Amino acid sequence: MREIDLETELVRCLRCGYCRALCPVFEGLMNESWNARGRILLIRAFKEGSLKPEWLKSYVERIFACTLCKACEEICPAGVPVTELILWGRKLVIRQGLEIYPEYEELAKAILEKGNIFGKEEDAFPVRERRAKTLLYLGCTVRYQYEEFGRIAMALLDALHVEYDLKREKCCAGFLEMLGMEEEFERASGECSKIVEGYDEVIVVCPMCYHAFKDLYGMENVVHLVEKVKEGIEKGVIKLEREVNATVFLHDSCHMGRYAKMFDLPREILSSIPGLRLIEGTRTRERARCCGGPIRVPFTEIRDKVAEAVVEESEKLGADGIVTECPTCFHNIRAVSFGTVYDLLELVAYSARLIDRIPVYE
Amino acid sequence: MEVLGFELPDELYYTDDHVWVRVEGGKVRMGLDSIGAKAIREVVRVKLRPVGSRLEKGKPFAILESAKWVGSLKSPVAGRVIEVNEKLKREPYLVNQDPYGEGWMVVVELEEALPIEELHHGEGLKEWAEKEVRERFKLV
Repeated sequence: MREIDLETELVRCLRCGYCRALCPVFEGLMNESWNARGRILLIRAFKEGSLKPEWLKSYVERIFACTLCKACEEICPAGVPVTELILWGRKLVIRQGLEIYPEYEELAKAILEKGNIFGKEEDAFPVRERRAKTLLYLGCTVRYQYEEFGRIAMALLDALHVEYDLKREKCCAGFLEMLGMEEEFERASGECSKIVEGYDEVIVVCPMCYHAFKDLYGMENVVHLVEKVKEGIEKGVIKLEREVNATVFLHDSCHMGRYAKMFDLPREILSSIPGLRLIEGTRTRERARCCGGPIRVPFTEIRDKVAEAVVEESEKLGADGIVTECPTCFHNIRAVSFGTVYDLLELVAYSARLIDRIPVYE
Repeated sequence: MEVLGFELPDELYYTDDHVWVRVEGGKVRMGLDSIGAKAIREVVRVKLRPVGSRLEKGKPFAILESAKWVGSLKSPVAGRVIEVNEKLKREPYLVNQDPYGEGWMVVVELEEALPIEELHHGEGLKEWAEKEVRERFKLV
């Protein structure tokens, strides 16, 4: 959206406060300036230059502590594109040279210099360049934190008889875009583009990568692995035979759900697993809670409140564990839960007898 | 005892996962040992089982998070949590700075005797710790 249009959007907010009902940060803090309506008013004041200099630090805090989960947009009667406004607010902060968090500078440095969000030198995955038509793109969280997810992704593609390449990856840079770091995003996404171009199909495991490739890079050939798995189940190539005797609470990832609108896929897959009982929360699908992942650093305490709301609901409903299809959600829910957290594709792989046990992460 | 630069107080018992256990009568105090604390780097958040909760042997009593890692600490004992270190909520870095002192995590009232045969202590402690340090920090 053009900036002139964003200025119009700022005044289109009706100030009704409906966003309070779904904003995960507001739910945790119960304070208006941490809610969509409050943030929009603040951005407007910032644009008009009416914020006192001593308020700027608090302003930056509130603008950067939004999880960009888009839940508020589901309930906004005026249809205000809140996420775009917050992103714009962040860009304005950076363009004006206001002080942001040192953690963001470190993160950008890690992505630009090392090619991954964790600043790691190497990962455990082989390079497979077979000139295949398909590229499997694992993403930073899988490559460096949850290697098992990557191995399961490879096993699933083998089971689906998909010939694929696996390359040295560079971060998709979606996180830099989320932080409003325009120059850094341009540079990092340019590097990543070179890696993903030239394939008929790019299969991703991480919903954030999916968003980056599809919505930011404009790629039409990006597919999430759950889509391929669903096809495989329907065609009978992946046979879900082994029982998973558990009652699970499905946590909709924001990027798979509100961003990519893939609400049915995980449900259809989970209902195909024998023995598995699926529980829906009171806030599910379009209105599902966020895990707080995008604000984990440096707002860890707020992330805790956001993720704990997910865990509390699952416990109240009597679930044995929480299942998600997003590695970032998996990580953030694990950080606050003493219970079991499942990765959707691990449950599939176990039921399809591709692995002998469901991995336990401790 | 000091092992390759890591302090491991002799009076404590240690699990394979680097949980230390101090016997205090019918209770035990637990935390993360200096090897574990160094391995996970700067702890940014600690979540502990609340006072009154029942711990099962082998189940987590703490979740620790550093900048790039999250994981739990398993209890080597069954019992009831009677005290938790509230200070770690605001000052999680104490786990790194003072693992056996201000970085303690929980006090547990034991339901059964401490399974000392499953823990590292006394004879064999040095050998185990040396191996762990060499493996975790890739020392040659």
